[in-house]
Amino acid sequence: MFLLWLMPGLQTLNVVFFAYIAADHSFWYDYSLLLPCFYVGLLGGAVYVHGYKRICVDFAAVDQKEFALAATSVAESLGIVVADVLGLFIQSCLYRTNGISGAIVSCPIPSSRLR
Amino acid sequence: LKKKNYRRKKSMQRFKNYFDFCRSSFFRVRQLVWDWAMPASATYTPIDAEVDAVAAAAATTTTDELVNNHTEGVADEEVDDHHGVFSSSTAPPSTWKMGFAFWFLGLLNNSSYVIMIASAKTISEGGTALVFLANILPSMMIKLTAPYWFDYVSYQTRMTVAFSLMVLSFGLVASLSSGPTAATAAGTASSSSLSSNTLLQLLGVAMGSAQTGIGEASLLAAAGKCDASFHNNGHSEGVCITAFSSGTGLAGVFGFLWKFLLNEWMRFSMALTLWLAQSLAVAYILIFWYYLNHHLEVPLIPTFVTAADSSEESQPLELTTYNDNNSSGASEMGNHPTNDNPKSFSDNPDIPWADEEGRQEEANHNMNNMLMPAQINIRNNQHKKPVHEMTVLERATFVSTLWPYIIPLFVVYAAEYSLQAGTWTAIGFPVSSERARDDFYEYSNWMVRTVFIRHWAFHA
Repeated sequence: MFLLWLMPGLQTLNVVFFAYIAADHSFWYDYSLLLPCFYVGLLGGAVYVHGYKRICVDFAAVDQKEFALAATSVAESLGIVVADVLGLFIQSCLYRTNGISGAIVSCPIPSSRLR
Repeated sequence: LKKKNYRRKKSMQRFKNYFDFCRSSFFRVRQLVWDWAMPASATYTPIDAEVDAVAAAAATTTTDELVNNHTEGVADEEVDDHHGVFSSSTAPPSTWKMGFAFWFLGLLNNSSYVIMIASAKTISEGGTALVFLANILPSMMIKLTAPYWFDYVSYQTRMTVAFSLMVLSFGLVASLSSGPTAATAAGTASSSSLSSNTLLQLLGVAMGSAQTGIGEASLLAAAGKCDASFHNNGHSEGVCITAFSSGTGLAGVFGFLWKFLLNEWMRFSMALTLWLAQSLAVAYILIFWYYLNHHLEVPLIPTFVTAADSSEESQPLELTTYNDNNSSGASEMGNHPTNDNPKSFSDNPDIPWADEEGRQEEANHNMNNMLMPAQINIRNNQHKKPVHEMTVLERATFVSTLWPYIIPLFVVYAAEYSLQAGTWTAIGFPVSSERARDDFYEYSNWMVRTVFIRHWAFHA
């Protein structure tokens, strides 16, 4: 259970890390960034497997197991919906920081706060 | 004379030993062969008949249906026969076979979603966001409501519905997409106002999304059930769930490869690419009927259905007689609508591979309400009453107790996809070049999609 909660924490750190990378180009900015991208995928998959296996172990009765597995599967869809919206805003903010036009929404954070 | 007698006795003994050895090894080999060939010989006909029956229902030719149902009935008898032989020997469940089935089902189930995402630009040039929405919202709604209605619908029905949705979805999008060049022209025209063509295509995408939702929630539950039976048997743990998630992981690569290889590399039109994807749908339902339906038939339905039935005290009997009808009177079956067919497979009392403990558990479950309410598996009832007896409010409460699992999954996916949809679109070398940004976006997404490797890594 600890691991199951640790990995989302690490994933959130990844978001912060990549946002920093995208805004500040001096620290690390080349194609070797693809390695941490792989790590992002690794965490996502690990949580998927661990989470559902954990449910399998924790619920002994088969009907409860089925119920819990089907009910928990909503997490992924909810995550994607939230991420699609969040992604638009993250993109707009990072576009503005980098001086690129073409973002669909406007960044809600005042520009004085970003650098 | 004594010596002679002794020698004869000894040779007799030796012969007997040899004979015993031969006999036992013969049985062992026969069991191995059956284990290997059992699903092939016993279930191939019913599946065909089933799929044919589905096709026949679509074509609404009653004569065909009759014939199909007839073969089905015959095949069912065959199955029963095999079961009878089989249950007497304690053949171990073939974990790798179930793993294989779940891996493929995971792959096929999610690849429709990925193919739709990959072809989002072709579907609606101006409104890829709309395509993404249509691709996720129906799936989310189904998974959100799943706890309240899944136990009233059998796995077989759900999977048949998912299959039909998959076929309709590919068909609708394919028949309305008219080649890459024309599509872009239509797309630019529709970017200002959505044409009915695009709307229909979006409906197709939504159907695909619904299919993914139903399929994933159902198959995950089925995988949990599958693992439960293996776990009791002392076999490797979590094979089915791991295989399923590995399949869904590979679907990310597979779907994009499908679109890329056929549409861009082979230069097929988008329509043809999607028409060819129908074969995925066929493989999807075939694998389900071939492996899961047969192997999991009793564990698949009963926990709620039989338990719920036993409280009503009418349905189990009805089901058995129904099954009898099915295997003996094929002509009667012809009058029934085909959507009853899934049930006819579901009520076979012999699970060929169920171990003693698992069967005991099943039996306990089935008999809980009818015969001996005192003899309840304590482990099972630590939590609360059976799911099927829960009211809507109790179900909602149960779902809310699942937060320790839901939140990590939610956070991980929200973070991962917001990286994909947001942060990585703003990275490029140099960032001012749109091409460079597109490149990095493409590569980073491929990196994430290779995640299927990790599933096997974590399995070990």
